Amino acid sequence: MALLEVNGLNKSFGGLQAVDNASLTVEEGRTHAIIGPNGAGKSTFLNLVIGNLEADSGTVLFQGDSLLGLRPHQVNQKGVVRVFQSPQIYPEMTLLENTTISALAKRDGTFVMNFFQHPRRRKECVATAEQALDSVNLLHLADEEAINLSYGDKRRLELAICLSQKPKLLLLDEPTAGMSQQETQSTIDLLKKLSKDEDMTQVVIEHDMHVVFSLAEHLTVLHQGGVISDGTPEEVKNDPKVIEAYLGGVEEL
Amino acid sequence: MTLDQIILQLLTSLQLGAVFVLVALGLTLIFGTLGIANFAHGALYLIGAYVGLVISNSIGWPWALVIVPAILFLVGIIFDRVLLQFFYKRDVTDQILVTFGLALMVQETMRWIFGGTTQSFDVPRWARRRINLGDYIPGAESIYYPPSRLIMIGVAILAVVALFALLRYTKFGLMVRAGMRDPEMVRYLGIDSTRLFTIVVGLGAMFAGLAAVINGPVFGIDPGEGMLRLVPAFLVVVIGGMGSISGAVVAGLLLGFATTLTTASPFPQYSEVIVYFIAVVVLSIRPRGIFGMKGVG
Amino acid sequence: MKFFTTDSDAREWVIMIVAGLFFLSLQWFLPLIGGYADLAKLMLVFAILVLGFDLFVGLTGYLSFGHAIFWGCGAYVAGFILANLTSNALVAILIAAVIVTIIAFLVGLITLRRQGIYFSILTLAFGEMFFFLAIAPLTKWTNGDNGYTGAEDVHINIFGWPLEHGNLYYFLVFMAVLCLFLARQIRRSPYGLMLRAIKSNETRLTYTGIDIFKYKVMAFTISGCFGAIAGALFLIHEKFVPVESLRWTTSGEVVIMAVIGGVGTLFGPMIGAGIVLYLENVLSGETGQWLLILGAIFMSFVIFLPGGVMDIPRRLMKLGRGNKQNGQSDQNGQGS
Repeated sequence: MALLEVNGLNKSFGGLQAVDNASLTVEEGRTHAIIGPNGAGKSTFLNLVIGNLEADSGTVLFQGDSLLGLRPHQVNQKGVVRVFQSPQIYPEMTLLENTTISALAKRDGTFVMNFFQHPRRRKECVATAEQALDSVNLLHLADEEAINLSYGDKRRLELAICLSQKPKLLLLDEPTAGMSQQETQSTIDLLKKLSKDEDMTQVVIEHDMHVVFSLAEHLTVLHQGGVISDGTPEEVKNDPKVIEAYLGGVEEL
Repeated sequence: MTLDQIILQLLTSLQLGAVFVLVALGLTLIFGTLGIANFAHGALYLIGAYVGLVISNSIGWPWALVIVPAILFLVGIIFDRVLLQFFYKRDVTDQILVTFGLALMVQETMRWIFGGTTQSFDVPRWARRRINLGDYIPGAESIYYPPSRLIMIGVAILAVVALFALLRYTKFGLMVRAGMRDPEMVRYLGIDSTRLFTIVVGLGAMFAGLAAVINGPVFGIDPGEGMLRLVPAFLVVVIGGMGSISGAVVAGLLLGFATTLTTASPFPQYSEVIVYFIAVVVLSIRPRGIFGMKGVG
Repeated sequence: MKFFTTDSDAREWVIMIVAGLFFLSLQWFLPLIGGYADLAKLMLVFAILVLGFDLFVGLTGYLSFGHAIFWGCGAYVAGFILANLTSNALVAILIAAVIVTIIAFLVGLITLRRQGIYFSILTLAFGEMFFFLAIAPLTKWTNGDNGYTGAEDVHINIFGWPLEHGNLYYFLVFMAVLCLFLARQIRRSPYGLMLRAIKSNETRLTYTGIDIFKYKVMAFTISGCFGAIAGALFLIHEKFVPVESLRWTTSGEVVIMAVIGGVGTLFGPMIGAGIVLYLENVLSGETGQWLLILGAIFMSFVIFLPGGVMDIPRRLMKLGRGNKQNGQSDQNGQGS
């Protein structure tokens, strides 16, 4: 079942066509990677879907509802959660507080003035928060202040914060950028576990080919704003158009 | 309106605008280069005003025009070295708070030394006696205007032109402009940003002092002047665009004109309000100001 | 920052009762330390003002210099009602609160579209605009420069119960405790938590599905409502509104009180109000430069003790543990 359907998405800045008639379909439960050389339009694509930029034309449907024209918090309310490349955490709060706020915010997503404590609701949120921390192996640091974490742990906290929102679709923005070999591998394992255990639909924007081919069940390749290839890893790997786009490029395919 | 009246309004607008511009220039320099919102800028104006008062009443106003900016330049440098430099990296809120606190202290110190009543500048007699500009302008009949105010406008224009030249044609100016565009880059290029900042603060203070000296004879001075000047200055900066020199000039003149025209209009009681009203409107419609860069604020 | 405190209703009552008792005792011990009984009334009024101010600034981190608008307008509106409509204080307070809350909402809608310094400057602009409006164009209503004197001779009461002297004091204590209670509820609620999240990381909260603009406007409006009530109470106490109440410098006083007391804490703002008013009272008797001294004290706090008076216990504890702490690394062993 298609969770996210993008059709004919276009965005230009002045004379530059950043996203050119891009279309793709993300199936539920799949890990779908979007790759492409630098300047291919991946970031623009992400920003269009997430509500940060206004598209010129095209459609973006999430479970049948259009995401275009919605602001970021509204897109999030639909269940599309963006995992930031540079971790967006609440530095002075503990890890548990970080994830609990996210769980609580999710429940308060619609604007409801709430002056009185609801003990039951808070307990539920704490439970969700602890579970999220557990799935990224950070539960033992629940009472630690977020600012004290190592960079790698901060990125895991970022993921936990996103998980505590009970997302329907995770949009991961270069999840392994700047990581060491070891950290990259543990991130890959973590994402794979999420995909398997929780049937989590993931859209991963990535540069690192090793990560892409370890994780992705489906690939879309962007080049100069347009989609030049779309299919399984095997298909894409052997597509001559893709090889040509990466000529002189990053890693061996 | 007759030509006479038009010219008179024009001159008054320029004069008011000149003060707005000069104070705002200093402020936008400091904000654009250091990124600090200097709530003590009014205090710098105030110091300039009182120093100008003392010099004016002893050796004469023309001397004050020269000495006060020089003294204020030094004051600015001291201000940066002794206080501001410790707040470069701190929260915006802290910067506002500490400069506000300083402004309060300066105001009260001035009140202590000089008393709370309004004091006036002694301007030389020849500058005070109004001349008929109508004699010099073809088509005009009688426009009585004191030379001192003509000098004010002239000095202000000179100062602005000098600043433009400094920024455009000197290496120092290049660094300031680069710093205003991209503070990080400037640091990477190995430019001593500390010294740059200090000089910029000195310059900013200098302009505030100049504004005070040329404006002092018009309205007189009391300790509350500093705070009074601060908000319009900020508004000029924000309307023109934070960190934009030309923006400050345009916005300052705009506000000068608006105030004068409102005073001459059927609704003179709104002449003070108009400035704030324009600010609210501009900032609501075009948040970055007239010449402001996108992504700022 | 532990926000999970025990959910004890009993504890809430105890806190409010203790606070109430403390407020009640003010009028008796102030004269003992150089103050005078009526000063307590002024302290209570300002306590409410700064409390409301901190509900916005302390929780969201946005520095507003326009709080005087709500204070001043609340006072003017209340005065007008009392002078022309009824001598019932509750009616005046209610109407003032409603009208000024609407004003706060509108101002918030415009100013909160900007962040940081731009927001602060916009609030400054609004503040001065209201002040100059009161002085010139609206003189017919406000009595311009001289301040509002329309309610001078009104025998203010609450449904017949005269609101003067001792009665007024008890009423003010009641209002102060009420406001304290409301403020505490707001801070501890999920709503208050969202506001603190805004201060901590706006982006994160936006991408968690929260329309932060709505929350900010709401907080600003609530804060304005508190300000209006405080302003109305001020009028009831002084029966006069100085036009300076609207200036941004009055907003500055509020900022000073909040900082000295401790921004972001529950009791800090009220303590700050008390301290500043007490100092003003004591110092202005001794020297003409009390404002200069206040400025110096304020700057010292900003530079050395930004957490205000409420932060002193924590600082002392840190100093005490200081030597032992220095050798410890993070528990997870890794630096960032």
